[in-house]
Amino acid sequence: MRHASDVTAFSDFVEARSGSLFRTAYLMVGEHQLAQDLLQEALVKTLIAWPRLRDRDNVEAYTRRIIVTTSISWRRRRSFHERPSEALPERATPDPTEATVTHDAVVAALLTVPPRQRAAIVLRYYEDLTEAQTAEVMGCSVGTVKSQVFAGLTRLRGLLGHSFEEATQ
Amino acid sequence: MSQTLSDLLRHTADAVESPQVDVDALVHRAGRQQRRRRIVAAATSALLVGAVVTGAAALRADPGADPRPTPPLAPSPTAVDPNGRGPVSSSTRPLVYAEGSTIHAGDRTIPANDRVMFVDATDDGVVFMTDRDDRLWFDDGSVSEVIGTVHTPHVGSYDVWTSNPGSLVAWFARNPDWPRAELDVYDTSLHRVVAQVRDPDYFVLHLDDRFVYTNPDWSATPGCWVVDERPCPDPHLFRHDVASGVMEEITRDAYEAELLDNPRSFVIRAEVNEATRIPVFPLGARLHRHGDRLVVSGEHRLTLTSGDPVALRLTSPRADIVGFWAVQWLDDDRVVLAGHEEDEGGPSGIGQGDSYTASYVDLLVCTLSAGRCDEVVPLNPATPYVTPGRNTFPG
Repeated sequence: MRHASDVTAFSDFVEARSGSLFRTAYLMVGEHQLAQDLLQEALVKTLIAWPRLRDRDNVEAYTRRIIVTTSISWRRRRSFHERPSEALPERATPDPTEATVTHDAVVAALLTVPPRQRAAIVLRYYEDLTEAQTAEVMGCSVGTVKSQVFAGLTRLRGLLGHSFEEATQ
Repeated sequence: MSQTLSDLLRHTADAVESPQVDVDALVHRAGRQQRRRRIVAAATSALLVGAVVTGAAALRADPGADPRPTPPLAPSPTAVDPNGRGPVSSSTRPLVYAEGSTIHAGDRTIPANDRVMFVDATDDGVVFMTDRDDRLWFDDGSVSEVIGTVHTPHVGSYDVWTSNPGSLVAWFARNPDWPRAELDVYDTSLHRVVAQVRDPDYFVLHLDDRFVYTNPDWSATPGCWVVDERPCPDPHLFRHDVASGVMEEITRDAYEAELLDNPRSFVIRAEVNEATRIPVFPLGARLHRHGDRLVVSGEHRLTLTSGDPVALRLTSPRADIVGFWAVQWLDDDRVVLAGHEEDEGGPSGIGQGDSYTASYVDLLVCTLSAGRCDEVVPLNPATPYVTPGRNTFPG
């Protein structure tokens, strides 16, 4: 039987952090319904692990890690969404000379980036994690994070042109 | 003026409306997932209960026998023990695993075209699923055919059971009204669905060549069940006769007695309590290497269904392979183990444990009568693998 106090604490955590976690999930999968599924999956896993999570300050980091790792494994299933295409859909491709890009273009560009590269970029540039923190979440070395970020940025740069600056932090 | 990538991502994410999260639904779902894991562990450990079977005993009379070559993929008859002690199967199965989109079944390969996510075997061939969709395939050695569509609530969740020995495959059919789904049972020797069970708001404990053993969802149905947060000595459980369609309640003793008829199983017994018959949740019961011997961790010991202790040695122990778990029984005397490099985080039981991922594995065939395990398939760590038992490598 799950303790009522655990459920209460979990409920408080969900209320406080689910919005932020959902946005991370959205950037990882690029689709509202899929992001919702991903968030729920991650929250269920978090709840199951709740009694073992002694450091409640790190619950959000734990959940975020699940979101990232689960989304990477989800990418193995085409039934959930299309595999990354080599080229952006025509309607989403921005003019490289334009200074701004649309929401759809960013999402479409992200989805063409391989999952681990995307995870590295989302964690570094959306979550503002350090390289070491990103490595911790992704379960890899800092060197791998650097290479994944570099490769992902290169691909995004090729797709989004000069829509964003190199220096981000 | 360009913006930073952080700003770009933030604007993109912030433009999406966050959904309301139903905590009660999450709590319910978490409960179901935990119970499912326990069910798998229970089914696993239930398979680990023993009885003497003449076939295995006879084989054990020749401890010097060399491991037999992997048999061809062909149906084998099931004999009846003249002493009336239940079926003694002479069926054999090839070692089955998937390497990316290629399935290996003994010496034969089956191109699946897409990455294989689930693979298992019956006496008649190979069943598998790929990452393309939720269709379940059966390959009898000549052709692959779709035999059903499996409800897969999330990646890695493949609720498919096979009988061993036998020809039955059972799965929860995809249904928009889940969890009020339908359990389909298919006979791979007849090439048709032989049973459909409606309203299966229960867990499948075990499938043999005649029956589906089930345990209702205890959270939805009052009572005392095999798998429960508070197990009781005499729980309710049900047996569905595939041939007649009759569902009847049976006792736990009867259930255990029927499980004991299958030699393709291990028993995990509590070291300190011989009376412990079925460890429902044998956590930490996987095998690990001690020198060149394989032993069970924790205060348990592993026995054959006869009650004889399992004594296995690695013929070529590798220092980096330290943990093992059973993934497939080839016949009454040979079991396939997946060896992995880390001795932590493995499945909770032996056999069809919970879905598990590891970074590196080798496949070994252990011959119980000879007490030896030989490495047969050194896997390439750069390639994704799937074995029966719902295991995928690397993670």
